[in-house]
Amino acid sequence: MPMNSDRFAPPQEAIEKLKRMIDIRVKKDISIMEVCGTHTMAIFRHGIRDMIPSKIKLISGPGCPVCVTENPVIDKAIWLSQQSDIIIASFGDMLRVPGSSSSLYFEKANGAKVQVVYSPLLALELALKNPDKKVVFVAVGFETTIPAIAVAIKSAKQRNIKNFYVLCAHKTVPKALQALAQMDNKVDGFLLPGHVSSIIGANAYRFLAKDYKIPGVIAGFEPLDLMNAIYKIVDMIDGSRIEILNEYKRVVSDNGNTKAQEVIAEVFAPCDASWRGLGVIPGSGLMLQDNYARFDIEDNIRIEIGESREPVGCLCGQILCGTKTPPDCKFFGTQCVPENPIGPCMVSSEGTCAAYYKYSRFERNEE
Amino acid sequence: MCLAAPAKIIEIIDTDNAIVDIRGVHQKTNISLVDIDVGAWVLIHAGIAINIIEEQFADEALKIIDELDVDANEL
Repeated sequence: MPMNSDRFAPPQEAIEKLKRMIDIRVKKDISIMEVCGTHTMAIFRHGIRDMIPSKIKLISGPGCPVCVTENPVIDKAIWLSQQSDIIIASFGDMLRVPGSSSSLYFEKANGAKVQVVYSPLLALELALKNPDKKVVFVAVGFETTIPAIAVAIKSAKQRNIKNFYVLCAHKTVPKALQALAQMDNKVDGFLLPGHVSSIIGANAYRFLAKDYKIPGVIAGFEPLDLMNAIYKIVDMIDGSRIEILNEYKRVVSDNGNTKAQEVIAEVFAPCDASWRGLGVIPGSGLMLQDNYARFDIEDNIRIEIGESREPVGCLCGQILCGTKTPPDCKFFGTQCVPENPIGPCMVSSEGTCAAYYKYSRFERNEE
Repeated sequence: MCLAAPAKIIEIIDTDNAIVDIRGVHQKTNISLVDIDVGAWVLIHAGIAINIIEEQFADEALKIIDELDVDANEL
């Protein structure tokens, strides 16, 4: 019988049962991609790959918003940090990501005003406390994070805060999934994000099954959740019943958080965005609506950066598409380590390279 | 980070703000995107409550944060 992880059977017993069920049901080689940085980490942390048969290839996709942010954004943030009247406010992960020739961390060490914040609302407070400076929030994130920035911008407008700005670099997950579904070597199933889904709702993914015949399961982060999701995908493929299943109902509903969606739609409008590894995906980014455009730093200041350069030989782009793994990269674990990263996938707490480095760099590469 | 921290609402300040308890630490959180009362449990991400959860799942959410070695106060 299929397991419903919402019922919380004794985990180890349930996991063992799911292992057996997966072994029985998987008939051919299949690939399953996860697109959530926390899933990337959880899969490693719990040794999920060791629990499933070798016929199932678990691939890490573009689930890390920091990793899919390309160098021009980093370079713009660095340029802004070098202006004497600007304070950069950023999530911590972004600081160590190398741009073309520097990083926010390096600039901060050299005297630039770069403040780590865990919430864009704190960036707003920073603007209030520093009325003679422009506070620019580096707005990177998927739909879990976008509502917080929308609320901050809306609050800034209501309170008439004139020195708060954002550097817009948000991206939205469903459009990336669509791009992945259209690729030549498309995957056979998706492990769908947990908390992004709490915002956008399970219905946001139905198109994958309907239009592209790819099954997906929205899953939590426990080993039981992950094994259950993998089993459900295998079961759907074997039975040719392709659907999107919500196995994280304790947090995710069909329609998601509609208040969050409304504030996002009020403040932002879709635009094209370029993703590291995937290129330009139409409609996958967000720009400010006209009545909020004054908060876009790029509407206020002409940012002058040179040509952005990616590090030669870095495989982050291909790793984000799932076509290469970190051990395939000549820099992995040698020149590129968390203390001295070459690319963003080694920096971010959700990065695939960081996950491999932390959990499996001493294992043989079986690819 | 996709991850969100479970927190209990201990005081409602106004329609947009509440004081929450995350593992004994009290902090101000924006609650404009959820409809809740004192005593409710929510998931917080980037300083905003993004969802309501049942108390029994708060332990699970905390366990995940511990396992993945994340500072819950920075979610």
